[in-house]
Amino acid sequence: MLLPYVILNLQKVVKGRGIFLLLFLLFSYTIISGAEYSLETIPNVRLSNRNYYVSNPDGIISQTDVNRINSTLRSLEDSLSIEVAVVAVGSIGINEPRMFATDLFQKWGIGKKADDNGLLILLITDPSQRSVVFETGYGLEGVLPDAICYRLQQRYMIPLMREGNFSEGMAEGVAAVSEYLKASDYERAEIAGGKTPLTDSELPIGLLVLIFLFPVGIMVLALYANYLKHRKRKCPNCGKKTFRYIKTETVQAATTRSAGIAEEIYRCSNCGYTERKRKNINRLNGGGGMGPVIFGGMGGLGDGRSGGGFGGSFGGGRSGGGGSISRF
Amino acid sequence: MGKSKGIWITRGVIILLVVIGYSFFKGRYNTMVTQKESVKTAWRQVENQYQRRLDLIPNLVNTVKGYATHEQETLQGVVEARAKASSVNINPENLTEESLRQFQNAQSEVSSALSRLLVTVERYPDLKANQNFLELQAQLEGTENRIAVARQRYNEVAQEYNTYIRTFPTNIIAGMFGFTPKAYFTADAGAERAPTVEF
Repeated sequence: MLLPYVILNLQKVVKGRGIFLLLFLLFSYTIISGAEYSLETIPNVRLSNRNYYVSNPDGIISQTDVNRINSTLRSLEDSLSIEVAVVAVGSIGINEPRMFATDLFQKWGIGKKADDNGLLILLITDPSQRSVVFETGYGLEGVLPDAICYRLQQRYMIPLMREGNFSEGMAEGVAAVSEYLKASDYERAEIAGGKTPLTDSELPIGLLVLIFLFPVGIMVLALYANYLKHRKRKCPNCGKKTFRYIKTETVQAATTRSAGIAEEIYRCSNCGYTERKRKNINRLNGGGGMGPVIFGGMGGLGDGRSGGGFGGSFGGGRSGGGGSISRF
Repeated sequence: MGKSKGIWITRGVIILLVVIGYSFFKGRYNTMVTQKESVKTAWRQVENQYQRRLDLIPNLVNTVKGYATHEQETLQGVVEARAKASSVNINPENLTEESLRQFQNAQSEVSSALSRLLVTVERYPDLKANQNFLELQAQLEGTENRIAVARQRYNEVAQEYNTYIRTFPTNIIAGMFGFTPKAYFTADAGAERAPTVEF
């Protein structure tokens, strides 16, 4: 069991940090011979590299799928800051899978501390306790209710895993979870294959009509405002209805710090009488770091995806036993 | 000169004693208050999770009703246990062994009524294949797990608090200001976890 692991990771062993990996491999060899994992012996791969999400000491998941899962979860963390940990082991001894997942979640602190947005996906392949467990952090219980976890497991993971295809089942499951988390409510219904929990009742027709009418109303208002501005008025000088808007000139451009001033010029085409109206220009947004610039997971951007990232732990999120288990 | 020096020393010692006494008292009192609040929070979490289970029951009963037409009695048992459990509430200030036992008894009746129901379900293959039922069952199982976690965490903080107020010298202040120990959850007979049903 050790040999394929060494071969698969040979690239990394050679690339530097080889000592650590070798030590780790030697260490894991002793565990593999034991083959029963406890909270202490499941390796938290995230500690060695923050781009690793898959703890796969028994090599249940193929290297191709591990890479696929890592990149899916990296992108999920970068975009939504959600931390997902994947663990696949042969056996956890006499531990109960559901409780074990809760305890492991707590030990690793999966998810950001402020949001508790972690998810632990635990696969146990030993026939006596063969199961997939999702443990959702407090902050994810709303988006990923137990029924949805169960649905995703049943739809994407169990069919493959029942046939012994654990690796692909896990990869498919992770992809489905990530898609589900990134999707909108409407798309979620498709992914989970059933009614969405959020829209059990149809939208009332009245609301739909309002939703359609709203933009129309705004357009009408905008057109009317435009008309008001451009219509011909009575000239205050000669009294003829030839007084109209010509153009707007900027007196002082707006900056990010201060508002600007513009002048609207109105002129009578009959007598040439001109009037200027001062208007404020809104302060500029965005530039100069003033506006909210949103880049999910800035820290992740600097890391190469080819295994050059720094080590780091999970964010310290908490869970309270939410999620679901599918035994098969 | 010597006399006034003595007075100053006495005053200094008194002030020092007051300051030490104050900080000793303040530290312990505030720790007790903080710990008591964490016990309360943990208790609310326990209650929330039990409530979550009670909230799932009507839905579950309705789903089962549609398929298992001959199980009126079992269904009735669940509904009654639920009604009884929702009437037992504990003020977190009053987490005595007596009140906690009542609460636990009412909830464990719900647990056993539910497990009887889930056993009868085995006789209805159509129901067992029903997507809605399967998901309710997943939710129920998730809730049972949450309850177990909440109870365990409650016991942990309660133990921390109890140990603190019972050890010397905090116990003196605790007795003076009415900080009483909080009761623990005990494993109830055979009803601690929901019966696990193979899918």
